[in-house]
Amino acid sequence: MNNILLAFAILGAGAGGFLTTRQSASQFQREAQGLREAWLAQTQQVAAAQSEQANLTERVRELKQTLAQTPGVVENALWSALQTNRANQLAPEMRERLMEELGFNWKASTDYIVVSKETIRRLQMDIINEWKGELTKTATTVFALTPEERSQFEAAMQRARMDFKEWALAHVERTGPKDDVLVKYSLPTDRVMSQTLSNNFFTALVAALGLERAQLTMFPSAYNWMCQLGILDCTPLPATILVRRQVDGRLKASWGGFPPSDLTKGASFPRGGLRSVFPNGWADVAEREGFELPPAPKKK
Amino acid sequence: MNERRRDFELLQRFTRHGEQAAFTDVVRRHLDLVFATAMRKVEDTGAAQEVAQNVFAALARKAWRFAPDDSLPAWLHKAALLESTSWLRSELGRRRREETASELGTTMKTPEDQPAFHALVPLLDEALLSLREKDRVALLLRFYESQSLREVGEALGAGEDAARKRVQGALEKITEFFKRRGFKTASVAAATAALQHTTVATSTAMVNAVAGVALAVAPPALVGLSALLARLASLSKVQTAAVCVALTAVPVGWQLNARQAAGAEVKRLQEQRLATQNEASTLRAELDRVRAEAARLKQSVAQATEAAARAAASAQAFADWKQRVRAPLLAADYRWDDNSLFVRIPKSVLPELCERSNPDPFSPPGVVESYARELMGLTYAERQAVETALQRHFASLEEQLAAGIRETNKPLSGRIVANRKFDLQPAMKGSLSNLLGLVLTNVRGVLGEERWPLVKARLGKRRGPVMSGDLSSGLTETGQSLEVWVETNDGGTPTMGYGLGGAVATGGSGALSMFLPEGDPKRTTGGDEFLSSFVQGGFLSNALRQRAVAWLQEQAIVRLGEKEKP
Repeated sequence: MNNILLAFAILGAGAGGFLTTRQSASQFQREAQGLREAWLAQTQQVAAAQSEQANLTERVRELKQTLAQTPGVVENALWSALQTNRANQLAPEMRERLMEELGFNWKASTDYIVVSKETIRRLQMDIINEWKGELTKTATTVFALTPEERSQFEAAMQRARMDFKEWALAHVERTGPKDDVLVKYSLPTDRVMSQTLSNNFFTALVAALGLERAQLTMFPSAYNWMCQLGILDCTPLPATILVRRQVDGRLKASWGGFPPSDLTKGASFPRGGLRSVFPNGWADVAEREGFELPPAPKKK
Repeated sequence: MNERRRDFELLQRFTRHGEQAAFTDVVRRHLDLVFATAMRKVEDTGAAQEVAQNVFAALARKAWRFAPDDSLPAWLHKAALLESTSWLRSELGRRRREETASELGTTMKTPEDQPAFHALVPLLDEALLSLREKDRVALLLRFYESQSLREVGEALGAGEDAARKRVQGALEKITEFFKRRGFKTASVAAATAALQHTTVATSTAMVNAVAGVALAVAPPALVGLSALLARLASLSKVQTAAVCVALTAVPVGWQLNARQAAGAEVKRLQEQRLATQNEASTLRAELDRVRAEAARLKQSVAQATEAAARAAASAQAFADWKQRVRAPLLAADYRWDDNSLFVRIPKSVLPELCERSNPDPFSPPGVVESYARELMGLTYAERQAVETALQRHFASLEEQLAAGIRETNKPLSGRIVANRKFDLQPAMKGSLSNLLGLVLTNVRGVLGEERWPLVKARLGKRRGPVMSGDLSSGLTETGQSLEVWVETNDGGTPTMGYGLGGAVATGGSGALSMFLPEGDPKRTTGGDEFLSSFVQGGFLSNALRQRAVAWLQEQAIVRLGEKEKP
């Protein structure tokens, strides 16, 4: 009987110990299971991350390769300048590059060269033969004027000249004789006339050649021509000529504030508006006033 | 063989294999003890036999519980006492006792015959029960089962002498028990006599009868759990403890092992998880970095692709634009185009155009003007070559001019405290001719014979400022002088003045402090620009200016610099 009790006691204690250890072991096993599942989940995440990293690394390698293979982009400063700025305002060095790009140089053609319009503007060439009252051959060639354009240009010149002559004849003032002054002719300053005639002339040029060539021919060449003709008042002095007869009978001419000079045949007549009234200069004045021009002194 | 062991094996054979003979042997070995005990209590042979039958029947039922260390005599003695007490309490027992009271004299000696121990008999079993088990077993075996001292010793696991001593000691103990109960005359001898005279010798027939009755009520041989329990019960306490400990140790150990394994697994998993977390953390950081790099590269590639596409489109647009520009300019029926940046000029008019143009084609220190470059159709390389030749020419010219500078002093007057005049002597015509010839040869070599008339036409035209298109200098023919001086103003402060003579005459004054060295706190601005516009315009020799500036710097240091401070 004692054996049974002893057995029950030991077995009971053993069962208790067993249950305790089993519970503890189960708890550890559950904890281990939880940890294992968490670890597995983490491992899967790590694996996924490693896979993503591998993919990304490969992607980075491909991108680097792509980037390395992408041709280097050289900013074409010239083209940018042509697009962003007004092309006709390029700096000289940019213009030189542009000429190089276009292949415009001496060897490009045996007959002609190509230059920029800025160069034409810079040349400030004389395009009007004042004495002949026509365009120079060089100007005709440089501006590529057709015969019709040239005719229109010269017709505009002629019309301006005639209009001014008409105004000058109507507005020329004559005084004299008084004291030693034989005669005095003067033309008044008329801004309205100047503006009207110059505008008409420029309008005719624009109509004939277009705005660009009209501007290139107007400044400075045609502008100077209008100054010399008297249409534009470009000098501070009034357009006046004066003829005096000295006590010794000699004639003295003066204009523009210069000191008087002997009036003889061939004496220089001032440029400007009075030349429209007296195309032949002093000869026309003498004929109109009824005196004779003494012969020019012989050169020593 | 040990008697106790013998009893155990007989019971084992009976419980495991159902050997009735083994049980009969057990009855035979211990019936005297049981019967004698019952007789002392119930004092009736029939009742004692019934008690003995019940005791052995109980033994048959509970035989499986016995362990090798259990003392069967002790158990039988106690069981006999209990059963006898039970019998006596029953009515049947009581009547039987009354009926057989007269018969007691036939089985027991009369008190008159044995007065000394007769009084002890009723208390004998109580005295036996007061003993410790080994002592009681020793007396039961010695007196009721008539075993020798050697056999008693073997049953108790000791020798004969030890058995004797134990028997003697037990007798003394029950003597003391009797004395405590009022039997002052009790002695060891009386106790021994009481024991000896209460023994009975049962017959074989009684043995068989008791065994038969007991076996009739005994259960069959034990199997399964009962057998296991019987087996368990048959073990000694140490064995039982060992078996139980073994039985419990295995699962507990297994669980402990499982717990330890699980704990180790937990620890290992925690370490793994920590390592994985660290790895994940590192990986996340790396991923973030790679993602950022990928995003940046993707953006860069997109930008590069877009830029390349834009550049390609731009290049194509530029090419188209060039084609559109070139086509009308190269066409046979060329006409002026307001929308074009370029014009086409026949080469035949170029000499006149060059001659009649206002600006000079070349200027110091060796620059080909852009209009001249275009009119002469110079490539980049040709322009570089021409400019190199011109720069060399103007540098040589400047050297010759510098060599011809003469310095003189004038008498001091007024507030002037120092003066110096630098005279640029006209260059020798021969050396000038050599220089000019050299540069013209170089320029002609670059331009070639076809374009040379364009330069020649221009060089033949003498106009414009000095040091201009004729590539020599007006200064080389006329000479030039630059006078500089130092004077004191009303406040006593040194100032400077200058006078430029020659083709371009001018003069002026300024602060002398503008010629102090850089870093001097009193230095004022303007020194670097002194007459530089005249040099750039070709109106003044740079050598002349440099000599004058050097003299003014010396004067500024002497009169205004740190050395003059007290």
